[in-house]
Amino acid sequence: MKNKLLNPLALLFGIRNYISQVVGILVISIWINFVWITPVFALFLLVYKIASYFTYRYSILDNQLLVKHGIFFKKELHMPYERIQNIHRKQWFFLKPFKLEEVIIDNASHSDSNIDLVAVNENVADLLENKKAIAINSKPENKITKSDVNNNFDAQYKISNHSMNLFALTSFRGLFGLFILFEFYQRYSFAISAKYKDAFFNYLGSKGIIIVILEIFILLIIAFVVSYISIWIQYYRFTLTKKDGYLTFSRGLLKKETLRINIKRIQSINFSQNIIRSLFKLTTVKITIISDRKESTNTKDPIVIPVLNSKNLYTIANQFFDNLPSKDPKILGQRAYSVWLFIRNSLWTLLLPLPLLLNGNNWLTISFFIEIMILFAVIFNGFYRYRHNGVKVIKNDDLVIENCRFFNRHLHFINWHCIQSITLRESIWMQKNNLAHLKISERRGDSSGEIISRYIDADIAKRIYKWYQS
Amino acid sequence: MKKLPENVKKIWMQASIITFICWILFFVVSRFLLAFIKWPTWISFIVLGIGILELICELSLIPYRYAFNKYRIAEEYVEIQKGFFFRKLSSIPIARVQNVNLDQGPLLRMQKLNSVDIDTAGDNHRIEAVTHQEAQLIRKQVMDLAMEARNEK
Repeated sequence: MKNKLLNPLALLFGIRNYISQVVGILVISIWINFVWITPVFALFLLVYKIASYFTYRYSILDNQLLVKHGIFFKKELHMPYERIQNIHRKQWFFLKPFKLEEVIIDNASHSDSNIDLVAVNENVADLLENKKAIAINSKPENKITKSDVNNNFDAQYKISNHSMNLFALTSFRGLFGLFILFEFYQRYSFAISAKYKDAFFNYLGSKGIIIVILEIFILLIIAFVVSYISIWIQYYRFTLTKKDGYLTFSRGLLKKETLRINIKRIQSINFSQNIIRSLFKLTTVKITIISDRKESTNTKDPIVIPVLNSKNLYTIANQFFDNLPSKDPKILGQRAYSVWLFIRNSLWTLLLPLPLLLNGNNWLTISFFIEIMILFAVIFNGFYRYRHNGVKVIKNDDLVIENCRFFNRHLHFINWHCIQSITLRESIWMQKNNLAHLKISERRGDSSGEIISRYIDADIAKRIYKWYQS
Repeated sequence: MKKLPENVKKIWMQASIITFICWILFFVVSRFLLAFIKWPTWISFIVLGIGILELICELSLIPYRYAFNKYRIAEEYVEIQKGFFFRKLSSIPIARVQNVNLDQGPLLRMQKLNSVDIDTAGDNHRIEAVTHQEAQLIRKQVMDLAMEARNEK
């Protein structure tokens, strides 16, 4: 296949971008009283988009993928098959009847050299996978046909409706949505005129606390329902398959995403639990992989199993990964004194509700109430972080390291070979109590990731440090 | 573990004096600005105070900083230790080292020193100052060992 054009539907994808650019220009032109520039610009941009569509050509050669594009400045992107790191496929539901999909090929470099084929036939990705396998093994592999993929695999996990519900119900995404809304308000509140703001706060102040709490509650429920639905859409029919040393996972209702990863490329495995999930003993399995800068965080450490009960967590996870233990490892290094340190370090959050007091006396009770809630959260956080904190070396030179961030508990499994460096940190006050932080750096996405276990026993931390050096 | 060369103390001293000069400039500018926006001018003395405090702290901590900045190039790993109040001890296996870079700022150049950056695929670590010959030696040694380790695999 040489010098092929993308499918004309690729132009459709450009429309959204096009409209937003035109609207942007329109706004600026109104600002500077220069409105007639907009249609001219829109026309030029349209011509440019169509021209750039026709100049974008890709060729699948014997040893590399070649992309040529550019109108005035011609560019050629060469991607040898053995350099391909991940092949990421995305298919919007309306492209399915046309057997088209978006294929993103990344080579884990720091520069913007990943290739994004916006709309190509479904077999292109298969072809590339095949070519890549041939290039790496330098011997031809049996062609993967559609029927093969379905029956022949080493292990497979399909999410059931029940676990899907559990996953969606125990997600904190709704709260995040509220948080983002709040951030927006903080940032753009200057744009809202003071009159409306006063009116709003007077309105809130005139009603009792109960009404305010009720309103917050309703807002929470709405956010929760939205997050529930969005998770269903995103993770619809989640499937994880292991075959020939590759993990393939696909998900999505409106947009089906498929990613195929070489198991050897996995940097670390992460069992994570948010606070609700840890209450119900549910665990999410994530992995850390090397990918490109352009990839979103969603694919930087992709979720490979959305939710698993802790009863069958290790049995199922062991089917997909070789280096996991058969049961929960007993983590070492917790020190009771760290409870106080964790609490002390988060005491500053008590200052957060103080600005509420500026709004008048009506807020005194509310802010007092919030202070008490925060204090409880801080104390709980201290105990929670103490309980889930520590390190251990298990068989085959694997390091288990556990930590908590924002009430999210993470249990990382990382092999000696995947640890890039290890750092021991201690202050002189910590030294008196024989405590230390242990920081491990790994490759993650296009740069580095850090895993830190804080305030653990210094002797154990030093033992890990010695283990790493040998 | 090996200590940094003796004249790194001079560099730290010079660096802290330069920061102090910046603080003084900031102090002068803030006096004018405060007068301009009609705020009380004594606020600018806070700036000066912070500057002086920082100068004293930095100068008095130099001997400690010197005593606790060490490094070691071993057969299989590089080890770097830093800090007095907040200690940091890092270990980088030589097999993971991707690159060794030598840097030299104006202050380092005056003392004929180099700083050495050791990059892995994930992060990078820095030895603050070594003599020029030592830096070349470290680079050669680490890169040779890294090559060897990679070829063995």
